[in-house]
Amino acid sequence: MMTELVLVEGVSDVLLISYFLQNVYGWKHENSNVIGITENDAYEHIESLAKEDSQLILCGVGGNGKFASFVEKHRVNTMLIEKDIASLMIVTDRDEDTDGKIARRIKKALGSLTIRGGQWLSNDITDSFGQSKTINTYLLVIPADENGALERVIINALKDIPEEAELIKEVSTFINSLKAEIVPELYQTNKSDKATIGTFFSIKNPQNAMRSFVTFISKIDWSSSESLRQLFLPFQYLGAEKPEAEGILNEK
Amino acid sequence: MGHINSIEINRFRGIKQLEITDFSNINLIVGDNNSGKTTFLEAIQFLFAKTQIGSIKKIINQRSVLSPDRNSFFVSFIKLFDIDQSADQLEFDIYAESSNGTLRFQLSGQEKNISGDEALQLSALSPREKLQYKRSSAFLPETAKVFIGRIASQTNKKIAEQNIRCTSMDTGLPGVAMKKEVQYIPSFGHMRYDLLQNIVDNPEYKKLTIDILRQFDSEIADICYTKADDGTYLETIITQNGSSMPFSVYGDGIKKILYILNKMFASSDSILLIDEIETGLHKKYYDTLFPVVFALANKLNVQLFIATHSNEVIDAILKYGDYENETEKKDPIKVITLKKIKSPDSNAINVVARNVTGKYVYDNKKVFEFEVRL
Repeated sequence: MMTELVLVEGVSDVLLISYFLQNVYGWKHENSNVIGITENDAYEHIESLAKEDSQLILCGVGGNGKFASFVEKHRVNTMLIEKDIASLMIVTDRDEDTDGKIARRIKKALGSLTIRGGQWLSNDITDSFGQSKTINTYLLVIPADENGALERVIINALKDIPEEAELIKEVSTFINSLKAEIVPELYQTNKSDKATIGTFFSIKNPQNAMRSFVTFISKIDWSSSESLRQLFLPFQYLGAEKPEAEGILNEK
Repeated sequence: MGHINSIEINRFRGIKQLEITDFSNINLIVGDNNSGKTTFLEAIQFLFAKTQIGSIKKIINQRSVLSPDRNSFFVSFIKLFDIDQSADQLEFDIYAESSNGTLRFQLSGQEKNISGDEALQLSALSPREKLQYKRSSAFLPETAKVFIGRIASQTNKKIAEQNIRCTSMDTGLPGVAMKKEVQYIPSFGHMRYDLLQNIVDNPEYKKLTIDILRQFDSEIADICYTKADDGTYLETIITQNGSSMPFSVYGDGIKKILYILNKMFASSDSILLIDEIETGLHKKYYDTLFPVVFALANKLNVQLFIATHSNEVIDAILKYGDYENETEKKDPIKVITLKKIKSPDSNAINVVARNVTGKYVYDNKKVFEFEVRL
């Protein structure tokens, strides 16, 4: 039995990653989780997935900048010591930060555990019985190599899904055309990306235009996006042996 | 004052090496079946045992409190030692730091095969019993076993040593009363009665006990010994309407409560060990009983070690910690989980412990499935 804990920012991240894990990596939805972690408020979102004898618990921490408070409120560091958890993966938006800066921010919340962008690290810790155990950590910063957040990942994904590519291209052009005179606010990348996504899904599914992103997730075949497959490649190691870290153990 | 602060157990039953420090006044001992909870409670008792084999027998026999088989003392005795030890070099050692200084109990020696006849000569049987054995030689075994060794104990600076010997034919060794510092409640002990010994002659304890019992059965007016028609004395409850009701007509709950209170009064300024406290008690009584037991333990300065399998017991005891209201006072509760582990190197089994505060358990249980029993 391998238990994997994945912390992501918001409900949209949970839904997209859950979709991907189910449709690409063969995980199945489960009603409860072995850790017994539950949402503390309406902003948090927790989903449980199972594959063979492994369980993966996907926690939306309630939004950008909420990792530290989630870790504290749910006593995640104690949970990692006391429960049989194989690894902790954190998926967070890049926005305009570097991997190193993000890792340093996340590490502050994780106490003695070390985490690094794009690399599985093996952390040797001592449990409360005085026994040694290993927790693997991985920080996945999205998008991989440009500024932005989940919306940028989604736009990139839609661009390489043949059935969606034309529409997303048209919508992007339209949103760009509004920047100069009508909505200057759209010069901000995050707002422009959100507007693009919102417009795309409203056109794609007009009957659900007033509904949340949750409604749209299942309408797209995300698994056919090569960029998403590449970005989410580290998920292949959830529920499986992790690749050996490149010589960085218990870094302080 | 005889509270223990820490303990170290070496090569005792299934425990190869175990050290637990920083005990509190209320210590919950939890863990899976066969994880070493009763062994741990026995280890504490050994710290207060006399350097006599009868004292060891008294502790061993607690495991078979309801068993009619009293012939397996030698087998049970040898099982005190870690199973991986060689028969010619058996030893266990229990060490503790207490409010009275160092406590230590060490038993060492060797087990040998001898003839039944030799065993009979070496046994602690009386000359008459030996003669009876010889007359009925058909029952004399061809081979037998003998343990020859030494007990050493330490209480603060006082050290006592005694050579001992027992054979597989020794079944009738008398048990020796334990020193006052420790009292033990086995899980089914209340079924043996003897529940009023420390209560009826002390008016204060008796009044307190009746007040507590009334919280469970308002019809109870008094507790006393009454004389039965055959001249024997019965432990009896007198009801509000004057009826005498022997304990035998009451359920296990009342008997268990009385048994705990009876032993508590005998444990003043010392230690009370309660094995599987939930046995015989309905969980609806926990919230009433435990605060009373803990308040009484506090008043009488009794250090408690309570073994349990029950999550409801753990939750009810944690309520006593009042953890929702943050206070600066020292946490009165420690939760000690025992777990058997296999050494990755040798495959040998050992017992390890997690010793955390009641607040740590309470806070964890609020936010995730923190299983203290394992």
